[in-house]
Amino acid sequence: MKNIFRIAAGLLIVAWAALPASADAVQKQVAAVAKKAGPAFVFLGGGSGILISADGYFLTNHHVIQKIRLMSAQLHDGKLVEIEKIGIDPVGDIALMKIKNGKNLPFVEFGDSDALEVGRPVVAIGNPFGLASQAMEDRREPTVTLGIVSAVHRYQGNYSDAIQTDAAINPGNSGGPLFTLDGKLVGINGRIATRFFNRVNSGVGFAIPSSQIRRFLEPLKAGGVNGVVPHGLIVGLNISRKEMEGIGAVVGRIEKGSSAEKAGFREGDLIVRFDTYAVGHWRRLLGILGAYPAGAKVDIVVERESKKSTLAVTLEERPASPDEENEGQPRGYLGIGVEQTDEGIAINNVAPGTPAEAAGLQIGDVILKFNGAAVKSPDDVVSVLRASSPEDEVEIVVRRAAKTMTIKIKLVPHPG
Amino acid sequence: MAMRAMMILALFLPALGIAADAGSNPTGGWQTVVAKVAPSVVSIIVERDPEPPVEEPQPEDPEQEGPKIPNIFAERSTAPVSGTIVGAEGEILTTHFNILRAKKIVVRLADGRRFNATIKGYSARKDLALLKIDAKGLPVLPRKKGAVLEIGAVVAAVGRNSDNSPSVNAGIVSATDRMYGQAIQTDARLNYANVGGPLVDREGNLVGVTCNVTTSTSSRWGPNSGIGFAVPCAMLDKVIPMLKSGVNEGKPGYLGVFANPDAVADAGAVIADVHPGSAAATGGLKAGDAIVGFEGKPIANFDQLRRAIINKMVGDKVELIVKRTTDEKSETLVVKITLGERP
Repeated sequence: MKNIFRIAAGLLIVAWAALPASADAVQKQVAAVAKKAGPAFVFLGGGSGILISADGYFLTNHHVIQKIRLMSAQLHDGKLVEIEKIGIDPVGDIALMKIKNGKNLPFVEFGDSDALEVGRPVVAIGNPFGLASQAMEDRREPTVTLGIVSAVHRYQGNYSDAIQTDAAINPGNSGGPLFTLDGKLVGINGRIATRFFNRVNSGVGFAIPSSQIRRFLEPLKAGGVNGVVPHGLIVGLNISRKEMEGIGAVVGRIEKGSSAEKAGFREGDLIVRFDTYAVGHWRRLLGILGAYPAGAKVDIVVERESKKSTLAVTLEERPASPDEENEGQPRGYLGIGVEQTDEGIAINNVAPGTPAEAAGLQIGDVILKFNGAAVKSPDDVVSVLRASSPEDEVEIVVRRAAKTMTIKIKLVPHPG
Repeated sequence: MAMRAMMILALFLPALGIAADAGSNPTGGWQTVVAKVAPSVVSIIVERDPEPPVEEPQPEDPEQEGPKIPNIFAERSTAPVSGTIVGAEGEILTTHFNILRAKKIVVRLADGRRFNATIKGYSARKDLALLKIDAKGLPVLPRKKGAVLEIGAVVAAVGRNSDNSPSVNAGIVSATDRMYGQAIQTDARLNYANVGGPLVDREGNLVGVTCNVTTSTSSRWGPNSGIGFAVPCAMLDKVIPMLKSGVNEGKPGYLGVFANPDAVADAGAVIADVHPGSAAATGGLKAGDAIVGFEGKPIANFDQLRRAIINKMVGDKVELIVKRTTDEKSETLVVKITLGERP
């Protein structure tokens, strides 16, 4: 009996001694990620990018590409390279670019963002506030930050299936990579939630997941429709806002003769699975759907009268929303989407790189007044914007949690 | 016997699990390190007259006008700040911002003893200040022999709270060459209370002294943003003797020109815009001008211009060679400018 206790004590001591070694392992892994990914990093105007192939394909955010004026980028050794646009996904905020005549370039590999668990350490690499240009030598060091996965499958408007992280992400990190400690690319960082309307990290950053990017990769490479890859839609399918928390999403009205009807959907069906994802709520379904391109073939599992069946669906093109449409006349652009909620008219999207984002507006903000008039419907906001001119200043009164604030924002020309 | 072996394994496995969990969190398990390091970290209590309000942030890029965002970091905290013991005979390093406009400085040691402090020397440009107190035998932090700082290294910023208890904020080294070789970058959270204290590694060795948390609007990231800086040991070894000899270094000279972010290679430092009220504006530089020479050095791009200016001080007179193209004509001008402060 004594021997057993000796062995047990010995094993526990060994386990205890293993403690500092594991912490050193994290340090070694972070250093290894920084060493491997640094050379694959692309410095782009005011933002970041990451190489994904030896011949020079690289990813960044669409809103980073919108701002650059010359088609050139800089690599970690300070070298300037010529780049070209391959395809863009403005809704999903992804751009596929390429270094011209790229050969034998260092690149990173995709990881599986669907396998991420909350709490897993992740590393963000970017160029916040352009700090990499403060070097004494020609080579450029991007900024490396460490954090964890704070949440997965976050629905943040157009970032409909986002990874949330507390790794420090600031302006300039946009378009840059998010890695797990094995050096695999699990996301592209692009948005932050900010405090007091200051565009500085406050512990909440959002990344577009690699699972979404991989679905768009081939359509982007093929150039999309005039360079744009549209998102997917099931035409004729309306989703009920009925709360079925944890159970599924209820199908609402089905348009007669539509693709949804032909695919087999019926009003009242309970959608429980979309492709590889379980569906527990209507918001989750919209979030998943927002992460697929037009043309994607997916299997959807529905429950009808306690019987499960699988519907094979090919997603069609989602048309540009009224906010994104070009109506010919130059008009003012703010960069928000709004929807009716129980609390009033709330912002449901803030496009990156817009006056709305710069002013610190956030998804969830309830708009109380727009240019002095009380806001009772989404149209109260949309109609004012449609009639506006670039350079107009709008005054918005918003409520966020218990705080009410008045903000004046100058519009910019509509980018349509 | 097999049953007993199974029981031992059953005891062992959860212990391994706990060990692995605690170890895999780089920001956990700092208690021993803090206990080792804390005696070298001091609290600094500064008395000063009420300060003038900080100016509203100027847009860095005048083209980029947006809504006026109030500078919420404009007010300095009145709570004690932190410092690092760098000499056993009472030499304390802290930041220049921490002691700016001080009327009286009191240093409080780990054991609670208070000492009046005098400023031996400071550098506004490096944001460091060396204080002296009348104490002996103070503990100085060890250095790691032959240390090569690695991006990704786990570090912690140690400071003192207003009740004199130590604080620790862990993070990693984010970059090793910032502020033109003068500082390293870390995502360990820095704030008005812990800045001036040491940045240490997991063994309690000194890596640097944290700096650059100010109310200055040119540090757009502010405190607690995950963007922080520290002067590394190698640079401290150059700066501390300079400060000890009584040198007071002012602010870096500021020219006031903005670069076009999409640079054309080798066209000189092409100016996209001039900061109103700056030395460049007074000197007559215009948007579109290309600076091709600075104090006898050829300038091929903005990076080279920045590095050429980096060691200049406010009041330095410099000579620029500028290429100005108007319509068809291209002329080369010699422009003499006195560098000023950042407006």
